[in-house]
Amino acid sequence: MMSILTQNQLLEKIQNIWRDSISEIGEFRGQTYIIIINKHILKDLVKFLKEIGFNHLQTLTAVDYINLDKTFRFEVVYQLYSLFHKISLRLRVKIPENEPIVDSITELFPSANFLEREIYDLFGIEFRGHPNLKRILLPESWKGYPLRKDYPLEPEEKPEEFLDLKALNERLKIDGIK
Amino acid sequence: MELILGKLDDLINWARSGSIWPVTFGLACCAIEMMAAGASRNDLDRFGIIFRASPRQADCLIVAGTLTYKMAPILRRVYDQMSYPRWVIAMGSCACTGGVFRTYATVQGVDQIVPVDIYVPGCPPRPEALIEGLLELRKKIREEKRNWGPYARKEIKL
Repeated sequence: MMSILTQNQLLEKIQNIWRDSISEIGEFRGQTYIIIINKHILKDLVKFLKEIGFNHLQTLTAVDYINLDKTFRFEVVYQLYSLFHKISLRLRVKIPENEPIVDSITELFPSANFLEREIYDLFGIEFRGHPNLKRILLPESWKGYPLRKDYPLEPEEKPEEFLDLKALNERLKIDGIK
Repeated sequence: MELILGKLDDLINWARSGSIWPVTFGLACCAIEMMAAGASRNDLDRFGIIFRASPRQADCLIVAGTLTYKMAPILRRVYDQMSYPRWVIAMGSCACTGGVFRTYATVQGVDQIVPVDIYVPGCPPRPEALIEGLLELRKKIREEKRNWGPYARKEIKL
């Protein structure tokens, strides 16, 4: 039985191992976050946290920092909670625009499966090692990633199925068939 | 001859307008108002309007709510499954024009997909507004001419 860690002890442990990959450890409205600039350590860090007692992945989402952060456009956010230590921890992993790939943590937390697919669907960030990485909300023939900030409000290009239906409707209207 | 056909028109239109059976196609909050219109307070049954769960048994399609591009082929399929004669009511701002959802995912008006007879605006329209729309549809059906038998038959070239 391992002993219950305080938050400071835990952060110290993390800093001792991954000092070079972490750019900032801070607190926002009582919630601790860690900003990770080297995305390759993510899986090891999550594995370490899981082994230490973080057993709940509360959420997994992404942010598009276009115009705000020139070097790292995207950020993938992992919110982890330990029911044992009663510590909540947010990992913010910086992702550059030219290589939007990060390791999948589905092996460690099965609940990340659909959340990673959602991020892939809406932000276009790939998760390496994901068992079934395809679109989850949008139709599979969809082009583009709608939650990126540079995605247009109404793209000129409509889905092909819709254009077929529209053409059919117009042809039937000309023929006078309801 | 014309007189007889005219009287036959009147009879058929009377029967059709007195028993509009809509298929339920609820997509969003408008569906709640549609249910309210069908329930006991507003009671669409008194107009002979009975909701059917199958498009095969229906002759009116009430599109109640926001139509997305993903849902568009399904709407068209439900419409195609209905037998002749058939009418469409676009219920709510979203179904009429896309409403507030001027986005990448929303169809800007269901009339791009299916031919719409009656537009009911509102967000969502009150049950009274839907009843008004259905009464307008009744008027429209009563004014139809030769929409039956060999007169209504048209070849579809696909």
